[in-house]
Amino acid sequence: MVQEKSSDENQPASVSVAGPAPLNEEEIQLQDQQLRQIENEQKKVPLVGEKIPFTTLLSEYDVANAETFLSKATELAEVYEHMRYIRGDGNCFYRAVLAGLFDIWLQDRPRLQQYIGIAKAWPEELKRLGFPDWTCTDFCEFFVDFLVDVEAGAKDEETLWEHLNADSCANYLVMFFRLITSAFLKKNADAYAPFIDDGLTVAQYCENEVEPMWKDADHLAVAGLVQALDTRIRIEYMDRTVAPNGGWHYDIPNFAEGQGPEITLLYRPGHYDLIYKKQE
Amino acid sequence: MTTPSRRRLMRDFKKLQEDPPAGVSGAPTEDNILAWEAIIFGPQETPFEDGTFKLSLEFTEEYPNKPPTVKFISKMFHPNVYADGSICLDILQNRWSPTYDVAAILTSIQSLLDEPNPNSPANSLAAQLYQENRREYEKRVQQIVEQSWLNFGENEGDAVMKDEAPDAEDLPAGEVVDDQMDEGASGSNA
Repeated sequence: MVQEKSSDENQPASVSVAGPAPLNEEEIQLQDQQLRQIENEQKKVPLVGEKIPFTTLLSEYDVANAETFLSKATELAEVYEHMRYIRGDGNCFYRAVLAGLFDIWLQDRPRLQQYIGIAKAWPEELKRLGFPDWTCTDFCEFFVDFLVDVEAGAKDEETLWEHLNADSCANYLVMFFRLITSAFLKKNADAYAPFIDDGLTVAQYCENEVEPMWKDADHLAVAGLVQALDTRIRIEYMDRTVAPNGGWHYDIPNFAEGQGPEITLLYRPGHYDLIYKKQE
Repeated sequence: MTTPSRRRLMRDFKKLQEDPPAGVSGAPTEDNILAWEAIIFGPQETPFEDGTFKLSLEFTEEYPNKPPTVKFISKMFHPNVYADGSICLDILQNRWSPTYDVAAILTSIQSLLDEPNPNSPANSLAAQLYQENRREYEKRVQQIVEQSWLNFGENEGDAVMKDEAPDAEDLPAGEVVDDQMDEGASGSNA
């Protein structure tokens, strides 16, 4: 059994946010150069990998160097059957959720229709919250049209997975996720303000950390997206902390026992991959 | 083939024509929606007043998730513009957001003209004169303002100055921008 530790109260009480430091020209050039190098490294991995056996994960670790990781991975392998590697480009959380939803959309038509309804409600909400006019609703329209195509059967499964691996299309969908994450947090600013350090407002936090592409999602962004989409996710944590029974997982939001997650992610420090439970 | 970036650029263009911001204009070149030319008029009551500065904008298929490369084609004398016309502006680099459109880019560059950031100089002489000898700075700016008239309309920049440049049918993604979403999404799997 995996130890249940799913409530939000167990989260650290604050999220640390680095304020934007002004950079001089030389620093910007250096940063650009480093970013390009990192990007070239990242591009060796597909945006979303093929569905592979979960046990592949075990081969990443050996007893000598990573015993805790290996034992956790071994225990998780009893519960999880498959996984997809997600590219570590700062969008991995958003992309992993997107890939997880693709599976649902392809298999569960009524749920797909619900998602179309959820997505269609966002453009008005974004306008109401004062997001820049047409450029934001453009991302919403693209997302809705994409889903409508899926519903109409205009794209077969193979084509869909190709789209998920094509930078331009996939990142358009990711950007929609970032916008609605930001919108959800801004809309519920009073509830989330206490989680933000450094005197930033929720709006400033979103502009620095959520809306820009290639920025990692922290716990606040995770909570925002999950609720903006009205989905349920489980995150299996795998790090070096000594936790019994292979670590723990968080369920977001807290959902009732018996009501499983729609998507399960594997979290290793700084990175998310998509994982699939064994069928019972 | 219409990709999301091309579809979006058609919308940027349509938006720029329907609701043009004061003092800027831009359009794709006739044969390539990813390559634009733009004009920025120097803001009034600044040393750049009456200048008509040409720029090039090069987009990639990753627009708007990645910013375009923007350069002045006209000669420029400004603390944040390099000798080759490249612009040092945070929103075109580390503070880019996919919610910016071409209009936002051009108006930001227009504002930059009279609000340079001397702390990140791309042209150290311009930065120094701006801070220490404003009269000489303005004299240099006046020279490039006058040059901007001489070079104007000589070459490719012509496309931008046509009232409705270029005609819809000349563009790859053609007339019905709004009705091309299906094709837009399925076209990106090349």
